[in-house]
Amino acid sequence: MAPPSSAGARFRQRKISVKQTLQVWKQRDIPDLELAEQQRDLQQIETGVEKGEEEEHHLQKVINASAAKIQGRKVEQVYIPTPDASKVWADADKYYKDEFVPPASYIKFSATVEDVSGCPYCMDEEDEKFLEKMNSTLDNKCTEDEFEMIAHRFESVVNEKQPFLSMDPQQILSFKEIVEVAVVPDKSDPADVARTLENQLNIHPFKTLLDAKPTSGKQPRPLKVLFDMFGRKIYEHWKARRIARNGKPVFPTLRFEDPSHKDDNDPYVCFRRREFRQARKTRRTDTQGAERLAMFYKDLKHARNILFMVAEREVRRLEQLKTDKEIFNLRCETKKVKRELGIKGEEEDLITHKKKRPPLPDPEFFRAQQMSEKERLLTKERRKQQLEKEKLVASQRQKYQKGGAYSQAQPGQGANPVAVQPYVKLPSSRIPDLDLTTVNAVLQDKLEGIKKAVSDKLVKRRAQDEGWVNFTDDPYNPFFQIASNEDEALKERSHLPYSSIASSMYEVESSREAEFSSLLNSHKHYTDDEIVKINAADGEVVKNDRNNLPEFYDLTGQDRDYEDTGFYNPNNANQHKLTVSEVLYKLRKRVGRYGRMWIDRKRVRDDPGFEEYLNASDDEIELESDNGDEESKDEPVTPPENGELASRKRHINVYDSQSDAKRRLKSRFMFDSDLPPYSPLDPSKLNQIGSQTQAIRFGCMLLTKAYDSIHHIRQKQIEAHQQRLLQQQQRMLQQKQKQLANGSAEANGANGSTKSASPAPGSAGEMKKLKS
Amino acid sequence: MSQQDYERLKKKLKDALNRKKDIDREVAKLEEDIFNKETAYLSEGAQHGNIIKGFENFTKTTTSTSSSRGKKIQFTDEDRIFSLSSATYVRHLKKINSGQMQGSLNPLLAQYDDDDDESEESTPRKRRT
Repeated sequence: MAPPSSAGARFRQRKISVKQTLQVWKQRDIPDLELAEQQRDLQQIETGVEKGEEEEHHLQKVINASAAKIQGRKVEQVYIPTPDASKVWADADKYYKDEFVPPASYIKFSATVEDVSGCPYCMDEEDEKFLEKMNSTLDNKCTEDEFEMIAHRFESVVNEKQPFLSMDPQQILSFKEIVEVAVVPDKSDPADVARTLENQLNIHPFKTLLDAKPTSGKQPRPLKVLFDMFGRKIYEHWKARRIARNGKPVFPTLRFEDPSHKDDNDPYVCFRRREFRQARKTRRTDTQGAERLAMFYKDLKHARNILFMVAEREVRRLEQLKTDKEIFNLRCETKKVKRELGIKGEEEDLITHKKKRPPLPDPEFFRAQQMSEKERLLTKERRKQQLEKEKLVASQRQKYQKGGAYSQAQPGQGANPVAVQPYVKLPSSRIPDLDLTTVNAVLQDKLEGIKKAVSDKLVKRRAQDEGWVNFTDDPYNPFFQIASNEDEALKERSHLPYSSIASSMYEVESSREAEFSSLLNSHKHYTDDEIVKINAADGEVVKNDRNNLPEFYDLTGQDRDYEDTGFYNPNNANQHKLTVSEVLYKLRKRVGRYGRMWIDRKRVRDDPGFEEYLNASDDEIELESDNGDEESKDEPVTPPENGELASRKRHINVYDSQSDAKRRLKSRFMFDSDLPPYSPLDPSKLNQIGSQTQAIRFGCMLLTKAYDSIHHIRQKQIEAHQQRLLQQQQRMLQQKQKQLANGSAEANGANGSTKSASPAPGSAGEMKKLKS
Repeated sequence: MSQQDYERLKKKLKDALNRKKDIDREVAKLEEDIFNKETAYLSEGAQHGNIIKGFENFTKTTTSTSSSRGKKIQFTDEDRIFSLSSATYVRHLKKINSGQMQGSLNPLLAQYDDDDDESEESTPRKRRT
């Protein structure tokens, strides 16, 4: 049963049954068992082609050849013939010369080859001959591109209108009929998209980036013009060809399978239908497909509309830019003319007015877009209203603009309808409606604020102190302003206690309740013995009892009498005024002979006693006037004539002379200023800041300074810490590297000597690791 | 150059200005329309896709199940290739948004943030008499 050629492997073994007759083969019946054996082996070679194609002539030849070779027979090398691709076509450059500039990015391209290759109709030799002949009779020549365009249009129209023209080619449409259809672009035809857009957007010529360059380098004229010019002539030529081809297209097209009569043997059918079994489908999915297609169609239509609008927008935008340029040029020209003619005014058209801000679409609108579908549905109603509102606003705006245009149309009035904003960076609508705040106002505000804060504090304090008089703890209300004297006087800092007394000046301008001024302004001066201490509470001068001398002021506000009783008697308030003295002494340090130090003490105010003393001495001076002149000049050095004079007059020893001493004293006091020089004006005074405020400010300044310095120190510390960390890390890194180096060195000379520097104890483990 | 020329120029300029105004309005209206339509389109196609995101969901057979609802495509400003392809409209949007919403449109719009008054003022601001 089984054919002898079939291979054993492919033969399906059947069970031997009694019901079936078995053929008995004899050896002579089998033609060539060995050959068959061979063949079977050969068949088992995997050829890699489909089973049906294993029989292919060339393949078999190659297989047999290789098999023969294996068996040791000498065979010629056989190949499956392939087209020769080794040759270079020398003329290629001549025909393919479109230069290609590789883009910087990947090539993105979604257009088909048909989209970019221009007109699909290609002239052949016949067409060429005809065109030459036609052009020779015409002044206005038709280019090859244009001929192709026309011919292609004829073909496409007839293909569409008369798909079965091949049945009776004589019935071909007349030129008139074709033109009617041909000039109007076909919207549904994808090949006509460009022309459709051209008509709808009113752009001539409509050119896209995808359009192939015209071969003649000249842009072909619009189709309608071409039809008018050459249509009839070309039609005749084309019609003749088409009829000659039995109504089939003149331009060769791909041959597709004719579904009516299937002919597998036709080798020129380009794409054959593939047969496959249809999967079973339910009805539901059938309708679903239809629904989806409808949806898809709608979607695409919608998208197309939007795209179309975008295209229109771009066209408008181009127009806009063109007008912009035109306006600019016109303005330039007008300005020039104006200048030449010396015309003034009428400038409203020469400058760009600030555009009005578009009406603000409500934020609701934008938010709605971000919302999910459900919310969107909810807001749809609202949005509708808003849209209406917007429309209203827009219409109003239009009205307004119309009004503006109207008023501009009457240049005679000269009035500028649009107010020109002064140059500010902010849009006009966002300039706040505020008066300018001046620095003065700000400063005043600040000052008032400080004043208010201080007075508030004072009031509060007073409320707290109700029934009490607090003389000591009153930090915001300093009693004295201590201005330092000339610093040069203080050569020795160790004498600061003295000098501070010396240079003290007490300002009693507005010091609390105590009326220091009355005490100071009374011009009453207390003699050395009288005043040492003043009772701060009652202003009484406490007699000096010499025992507790350095205590000048007692600001505790309590007399010794009250200390015993322990309370303050308000009835005595008037009587017990806090008083204080003014500067009592001036002290001066000077260096005398032999490096001796002198501290001079001087009263600030001349008391009558002192005056008297000086005046009294005058008498004596008069008496000794003749010799005093010289001596007063230079006291310590005795002039050489001194002895003579002294002998002439009554001999008075210079050192004993009372008058001389007095004179010297007086001169000294004459040249020294009586009062310590007032300290230079405090800047705060210049700024008219009250002393109380100044005190607060000073305190604040101290605080901020302190804070700043603390901050600074802290910053430094942090930096230092970071530095230290960095250094540590670096050191670690270095160490590690060293270790690594050591380790590798060690590893290199593993079995050699261990002369490398002994590693740090910490690295021992790591080294071990490295070694292993 | 004469007075006549001047008058003629002036008239021309006026015409051009009026034309410009018309075009400006037209463009503004178009841009607004595009934005609205785009919004509608993008939100409509949230289920099955659109020409920007592709129609991947379109061929999927699952329908009206909760799982498909979760896969809804949320559109962002990146998808607004229609309205935001206009530099003038982007600027317009930015102006609107600068006051009210920070962020949502801004990151994208920031790309277009170069000069604020470039095209409107083709003439220098300085006035010379």
